[in-house]
Amino acid sequence: MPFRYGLERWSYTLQRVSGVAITLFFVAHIVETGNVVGGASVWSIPPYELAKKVWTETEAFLANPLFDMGLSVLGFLIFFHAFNGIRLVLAHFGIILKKPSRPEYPYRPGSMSPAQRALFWVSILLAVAALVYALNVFFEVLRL
Amino acid sequence: MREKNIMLLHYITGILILVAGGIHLSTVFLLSPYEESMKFDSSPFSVMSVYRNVLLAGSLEALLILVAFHGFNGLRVILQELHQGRTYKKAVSLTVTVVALALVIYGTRTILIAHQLANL
Repeated sequence: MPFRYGLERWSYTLQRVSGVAITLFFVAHIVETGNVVGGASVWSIPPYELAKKVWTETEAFLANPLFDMGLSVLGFLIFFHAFNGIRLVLAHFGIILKKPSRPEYPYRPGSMSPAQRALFWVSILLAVAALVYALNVFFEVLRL
Repeated sequence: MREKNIMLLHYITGILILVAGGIHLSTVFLLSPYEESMKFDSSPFSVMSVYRNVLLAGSLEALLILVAFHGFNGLRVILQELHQGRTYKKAVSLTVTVVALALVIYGTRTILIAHQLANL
């Protein structure tokens, strides 16, 4: 495990891992919702009761702690990806970049400005908030 | 399409997903309790109620297209960074485009059928 990553490397890794995870969920979600209206074999409107039956069965199958945990982690990843992505777009257009400076001892990497560091931690904070919210929805930990 | 335009589109779709995805998450979690949203029908933001509404079903279609592009373009960028080569690059681009298009077609079918099913 690369524990000596700097903040920007962690941000880069998390952004990519979360992106891939969300895309995989997206594929599964499209397949799963497609099954409710008849799956790949039926290309006409299925009976209402059949769709309702498949939906209810799918819900019952997926209502387990493992899947709820997975969705909660996905909530964390989605919120991190979304708000870290805003930071990246801003940085790409040069809005929150640090001014170029001479290399001076102790040569701290100047690749992330204070505003960018703040935005990174804001995205972590929002992701944790999403995780807690999701855990509360699925497991009723807070009993709000 | 030139790489700079693809990345610009990547950012634009990313921003738009904030809106379309926000609507999707709102209907599931915020506008009604999660248990009510997970019902098949008969509550204001149940599955069929969302698909019955043209605007909400339309926002799902937009989300489908946006995430298909954004997600699979992201995958393409990651794969093209892992390994280089003209044939590899073309193969990755083609695969990613085909899978994304297939998902958009299959998802659009789901939305169209669910919309008509909800309005029976």
